[in-house]
Amino acid sequence: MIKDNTARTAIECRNVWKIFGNRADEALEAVKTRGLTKEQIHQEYDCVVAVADATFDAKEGEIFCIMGLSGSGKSTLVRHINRLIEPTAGDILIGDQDINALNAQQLRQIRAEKIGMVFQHTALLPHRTVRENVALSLELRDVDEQKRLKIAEQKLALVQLTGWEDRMPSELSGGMQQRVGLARAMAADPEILLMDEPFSALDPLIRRQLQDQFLELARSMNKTTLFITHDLDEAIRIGNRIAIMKDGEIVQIGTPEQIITAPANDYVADFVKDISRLKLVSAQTIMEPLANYLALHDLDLSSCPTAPHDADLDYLINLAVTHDSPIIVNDQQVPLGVVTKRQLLRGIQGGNTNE
Amino acid sequence: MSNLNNHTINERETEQLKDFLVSSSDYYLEQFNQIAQGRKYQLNLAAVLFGPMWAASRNIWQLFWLLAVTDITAFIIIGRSLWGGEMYADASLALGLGILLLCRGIGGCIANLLYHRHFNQWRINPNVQSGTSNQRAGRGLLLIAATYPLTIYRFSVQEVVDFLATFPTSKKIASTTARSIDNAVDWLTITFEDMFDSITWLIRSMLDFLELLFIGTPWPVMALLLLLMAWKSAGWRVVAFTALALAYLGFFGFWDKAMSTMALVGASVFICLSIGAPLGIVAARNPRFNAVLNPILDIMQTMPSFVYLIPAIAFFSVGKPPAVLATVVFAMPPMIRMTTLGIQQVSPSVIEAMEAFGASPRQILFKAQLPLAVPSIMAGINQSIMMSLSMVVVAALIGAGGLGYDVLFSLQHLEAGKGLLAGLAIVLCAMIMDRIIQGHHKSS
Repeated sequence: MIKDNTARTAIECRNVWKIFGNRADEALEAVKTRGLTKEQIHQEYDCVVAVADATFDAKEGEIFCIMGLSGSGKSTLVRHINRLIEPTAGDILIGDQDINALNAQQLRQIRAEKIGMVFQHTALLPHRTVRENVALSLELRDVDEQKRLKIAEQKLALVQLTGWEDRMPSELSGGMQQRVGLARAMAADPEILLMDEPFSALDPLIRRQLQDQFLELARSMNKTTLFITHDLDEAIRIGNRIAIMKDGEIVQIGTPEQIITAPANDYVADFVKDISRLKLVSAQTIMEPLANYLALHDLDLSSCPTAPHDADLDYLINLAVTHDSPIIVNDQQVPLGVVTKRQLLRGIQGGNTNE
Repeated sequence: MSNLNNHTINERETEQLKDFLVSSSDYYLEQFNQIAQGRKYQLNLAAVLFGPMWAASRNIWQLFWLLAVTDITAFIIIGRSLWGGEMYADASLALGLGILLLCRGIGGCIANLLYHRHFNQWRINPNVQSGTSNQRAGRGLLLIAATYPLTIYRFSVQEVVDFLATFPTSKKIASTTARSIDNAVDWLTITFEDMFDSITWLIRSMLDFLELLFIGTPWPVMALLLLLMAWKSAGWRVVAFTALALAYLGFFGFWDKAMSTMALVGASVFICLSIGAPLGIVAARNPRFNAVLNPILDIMQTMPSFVYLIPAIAFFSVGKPPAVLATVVFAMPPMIRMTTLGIQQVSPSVIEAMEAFGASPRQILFKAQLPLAVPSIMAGINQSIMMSLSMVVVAALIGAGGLGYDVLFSLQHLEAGKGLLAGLAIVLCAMIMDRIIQGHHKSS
């Protein structure tokens, strides 16, 4: 997990458009000059706007979630990163390399060496063993057999599948297959992982286990990850930042807390309203500045419990249950603000804490 | 439940029906209501009276043709009784009229039912034509005018004018066309003699090698090899079957001929595979090529095999090489088709994954598409073998020898017993190969 704002940008998308159809270029021109809606484009040009003016960047080591419902263009967008789909317009940069400028040979090389991908339906080769599947990207780069199979075993150990190397994919459960997919994506030690709804087809319990396993791996390996999901809970659990897509457009980009506490529009607000805020909202978001509070109330700071400024609501509840006085919020021992029980309850509810 | 039993047409449906019916909607509304309540067969007087014309104007063409056929039959009988004379003395006016009335009556009873079905089709697809139209009625009238008089005339008079009895042929067109094809074949034979000769030589040497292998190998060794293959690929049941079949071939004196047939089939299938599989791969990757190839394959499969025996003889003279080539033409389409199918069936997500990991088109073909198409390709080989064996008798006509010759010989000399024995030998050869290959493909 990174907190560092100065980290280098690993993936950058600038004004990416993808329009499917024979007259995509005309349609794009029409969108830009005449501002047609997607329905109008569909009627006039028989084209479908899948991604509309998407701009975002993912920092090195960051897990960047793209969340949206089916048909929102999220899977299309992620396929632009390794150019499985060519953009109609816009630039995609990996590090400082323009991916659209590569020829076929260079593109294959960057796909094999720099970008690993995990698919929703695993897409393992059914005629090969688990080990050979994991070694695929190395095999495509002509790494010699002994070496690549050894690496495959190491990666399988990372996803805790030691002992399953010589099975066929069909003998494994869905969750295990997906772990093979993850091991395969990591085999070439790519800098970037693209994960296209990897856990969506799994049952909830297995999904949670895999999320935890993946988070642990991601922390230890520090890979830049684009994680596609239709499940906001998953996005919040996994993502450092989340981009929310609707009808091909990115509606909001922010940290989970930003998305929860300041949804950009009604669409996002509707999404986040059922999300538990306990682990997401921090003390500094709901606190009243110390000066404001002291202007109206008398308070003996030394008798109050204290919490760090980034403590979550869950932590504050525990304090509030055992103490009667308000909680003082500190940043490195400097008191910043006060959280009263009323603010805490409002904060859990998600309303305005200072009403 | 009562709702289901007493279904009546609701308002929305009524509006739709009016749109659909255009004219006499009150009558049909009532009729459709009856149908909806389960009383299916109601007599439609308009349909009885006007018969096919009613059906045409309401756009129910299946009823039009049904009634047209029964009308014509009835009118022919009526015509025969009126002017048929002695030749059709047994035809009676009453019978004709009876058939006419009966069939019109039946038509009238099912007319509303068919019309109701037509309405349902129109509801699904509003482009289906509805209502009545003079244009359609006119079309019906034209069809009746074109078919009724001539047909009735042809079957009810004693002496038919020549013009109607047979199609006015022009013998000249056929003979000149055939002659020009002859010339073209001659020209090809002479111009490309060297090419045809070298193909003949190539196939002959391949056949010679295979025959040496199959016939030259001492029979115990050959039998052992076949049994071993059966054991390896399909288990002891097939071994037992193969042993019995081989014993039959040996004791009834078909051994050498069976081996020679197998050599012929082996050569044909080898050529099918080595040409068919690459063609199938290209077709799978190139839709335009596939579109051109498909009708050619259809022709190869449906053209009676005797037809291409003739050019085969012209280009490659008689003997085994042209027999192999004729067999290849017949047996290759399934090989190509199954290869194409196998490659196209590989899941697009697997292909996408290969691409995402940086595979070149070549790597995708050899590491994913072909291995995954193997079962389908094996099925194609199997089909090719079966079709080659079915060509054995035909190929014997141009001197391919083998078991086919025995069948042919008994056919020509009316020796049913000998022919059946040889036929059984062919069947057994086919089954041995089929079981071994199928077993292999199942176990892998």
